Amino acid sequence: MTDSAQTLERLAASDYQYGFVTDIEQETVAPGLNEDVIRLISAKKQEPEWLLEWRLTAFRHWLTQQQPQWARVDYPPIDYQAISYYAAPKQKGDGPKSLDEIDPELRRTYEKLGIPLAEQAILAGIAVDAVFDSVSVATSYKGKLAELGIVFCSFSEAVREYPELVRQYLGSVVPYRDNYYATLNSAVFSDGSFVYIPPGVRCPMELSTYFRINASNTGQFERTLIIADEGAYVSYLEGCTAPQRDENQLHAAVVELVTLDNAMIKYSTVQNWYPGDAEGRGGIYNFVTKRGLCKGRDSKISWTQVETGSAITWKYPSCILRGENSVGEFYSVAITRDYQQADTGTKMIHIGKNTRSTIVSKGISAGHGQNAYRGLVKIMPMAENARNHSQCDSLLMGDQCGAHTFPYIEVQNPTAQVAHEASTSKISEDQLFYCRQRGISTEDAVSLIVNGFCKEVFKELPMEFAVEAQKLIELKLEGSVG
Amino acid sequence: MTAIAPLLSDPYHQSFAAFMAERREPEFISRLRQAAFARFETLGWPTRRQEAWRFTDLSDLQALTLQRPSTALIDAAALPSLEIPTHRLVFVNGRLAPGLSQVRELPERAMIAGFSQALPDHSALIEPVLDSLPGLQSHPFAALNTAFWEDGALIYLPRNAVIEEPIHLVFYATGGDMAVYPRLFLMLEQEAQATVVVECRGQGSYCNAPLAELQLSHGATLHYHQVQEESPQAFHLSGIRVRQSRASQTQLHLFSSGGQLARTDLEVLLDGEQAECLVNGLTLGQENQTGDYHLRIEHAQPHGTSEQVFKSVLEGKSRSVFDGMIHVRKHAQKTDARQTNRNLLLSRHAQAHANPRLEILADDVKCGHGSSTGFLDPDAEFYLRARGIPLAQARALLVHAFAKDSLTRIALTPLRERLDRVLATRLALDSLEGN
Repeated sequence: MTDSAQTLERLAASDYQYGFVTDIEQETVAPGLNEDVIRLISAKKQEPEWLLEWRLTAFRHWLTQQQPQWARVDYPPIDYQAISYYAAPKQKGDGPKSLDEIDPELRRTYEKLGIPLAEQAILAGIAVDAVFDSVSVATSYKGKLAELGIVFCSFSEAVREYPELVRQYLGSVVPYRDNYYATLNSAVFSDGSFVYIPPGVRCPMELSTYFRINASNTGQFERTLIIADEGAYVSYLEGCTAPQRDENQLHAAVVELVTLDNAMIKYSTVQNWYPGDAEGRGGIYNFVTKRGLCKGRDSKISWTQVETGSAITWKYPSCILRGENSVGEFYSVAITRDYQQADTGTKMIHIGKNTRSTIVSKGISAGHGQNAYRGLVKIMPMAENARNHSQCDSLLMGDQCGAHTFPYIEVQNPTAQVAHEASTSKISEDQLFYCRQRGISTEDAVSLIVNGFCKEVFKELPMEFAVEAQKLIELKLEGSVG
Repeated sequence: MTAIAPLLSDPYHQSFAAFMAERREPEFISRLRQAAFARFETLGWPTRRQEAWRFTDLSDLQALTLQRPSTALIDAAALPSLEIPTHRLVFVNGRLAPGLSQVRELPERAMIAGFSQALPDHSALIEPVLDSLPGLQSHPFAALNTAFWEDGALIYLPRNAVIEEPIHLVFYATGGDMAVYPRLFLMLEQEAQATVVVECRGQGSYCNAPLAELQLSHGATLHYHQVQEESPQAFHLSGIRVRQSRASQTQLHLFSSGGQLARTDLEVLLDGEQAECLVNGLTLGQENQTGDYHLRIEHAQPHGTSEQVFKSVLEGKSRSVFDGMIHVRKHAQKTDARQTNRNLLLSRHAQAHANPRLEILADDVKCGHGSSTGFLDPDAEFYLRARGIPLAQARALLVHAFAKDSLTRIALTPLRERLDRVLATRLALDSLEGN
């Protein structure tokens, strides 16, 4: 924390450093949603007939659904006809053949974001699939991964190259009827990432996708599908940013994970969408459905999320523990300040024998922020010896914010052991006094205490991400106490 | 609200019109009834699609709630007793049975009486406060109770009045497919103290939907016990709403072992600084029973303390539902609120649903909750067996210890001992006291 003066200066200049807009020629479909728009998206992506049918079925089902009202968030009704459902950087010719061919303007955008594309990728050792508004721009490190048989590409490419895999797994974890936003996504999803790790392969590097919303009045509806075949392992990172705009933008993504026998997927997110300004104008509505299926025995899915952005976050990364001895984990830090609202948590559905799950959720509210943990732990009758432990802690900073906890615990098997604990507190005067007495400024003391509060979650993040997350939180909470 | 409501409202309308035609009572009560009935109509019959009724299956109940209770006599021997001197009011099918009731000598201006007896002389006291508490506004059975109650208990203690003997209220139903709506209104003025035991019992098939309103002024103390031992075919849907002023204290002990479906909705408003509230619940479930609790503790003022401790022991195909909410309002700083829910599943088919919730809008508070569900600790079992105690007995011992923790919080000795015997019988044990 030696550079805290610098940090402050940086802050004074701009609270949200990713709020720039990239001037780039965009190809956007006119706002509105109907079957023609869906046909158009599908045609633009040269999709097979079955996928178009799937989209249309989802769309017809969506028309019969109603926007969910149960979350503890408050926002004006969304006009789904005012949103453009497709925005792509205009391509010259047939699209980039290699990394060097990517529009330099776009490259600069990612450089500003600190995304290790191309050469940077080699230094950082991360393979990146960057999604810009609706289409996947470039996927680095492809060749190296291909040697191992790993498929890491954009969703549209996967539909073209690996249709059987996509058809087999698409909608198998999050069916198109799942919920309002997942159904909308199934109808209009534009791109996203696709990962397949073949049996017995341990992915040698962290795979990463970077999402960015650039065009105004567009929604981003990406879809991610990750399959870890028997004995495979992959760690996947996801990051997000968006420009500063006064109007709200919608982000409704779907992520599906599947692990077969002995496989493991570790999925980490640092979500830093534009949260709106200090008065609560603008910002991203982040309505995301993420779910993993532990299909095989001894498989494991681990979710780690750091939620710092978005005007509204509505997100419940879940695990269906079907395979025997499978393990689900959820580690979350959610921060709300100004007028941000977060309603986030997880679902752990225990179906198989000896399944285990761990939930650690840390909520921090400052300013007028509202932070809710909402989670379900369900032990089905067949889940002998299932175990769950949940811990949800909330930290309140300021007297205008709120922290809420809504756990649902449903146990239908007597051999299960389920425990839930939660606490709510503020940074105590004693703790601050202790630090200040030792010459640590209030600001640094707060950041020290908050980092300690979040440590259990940060230690689950890959190292570069953990550092970024820690910085992000310091920035976020600057000036909240003291 | 729901698709069924309009279909149902017709028979309810007829029933309500017929009911109102027979009533001879002050106008303010008729107005309350009309308003409550209108509220019931807007709320509609609860369905499982509503969040608060997700686990409560009321499909077998609809027809019952329309049946008006008959008049009946019961044998005094069928009534529960506390074996110590008490003030006793017995309501059979929702109406006061004067022959079975007995009120002993009271402090000056204090009153323990049936509504029907007290109304003519005391309507000035009752009018401003009856049905005035804010809680349970969206609870259809609270609305039905206000629309259809026939009689109830009125308890009023003036300033500094302390009643040593427990006030024992028995709500008894004689069955025959009907719905009874007994009412309790209790008001404790400054520094007054009382102990109340409400017992719900009956035979055969019926629906018992009592509603209690408890108001405490500055520094008043109330120990309230609800003992639900309804008949195995009965539905029990009780509502309790409480408002506490500054430095008042309540202990609410809720014991539930009867009925096929027993649900209690409780709302406590801590409306003064330093108010304290303990809610202690124990549910014993067997066969197809459902024991369902929905609690809301509303911290409206600073320095309040509340604690909820709920335990359930579930056998057979029984289910328990615990939905507890601690809501801390913006300026209720220095609140200390705690919530614990523990469920013991003793059979393959038993189910526990826990939904402990916190909504906190003040920053300087201490709030926590915990919930655990599971079977007996195998280490504890092993410990006992290693000392030569047979498995069945070891388990009974452990279950007894688990449940007894709730009973020890009850200060009223004769009731605690009686409930302990109920527990022991359930576990097929002789009372283990002193062993």
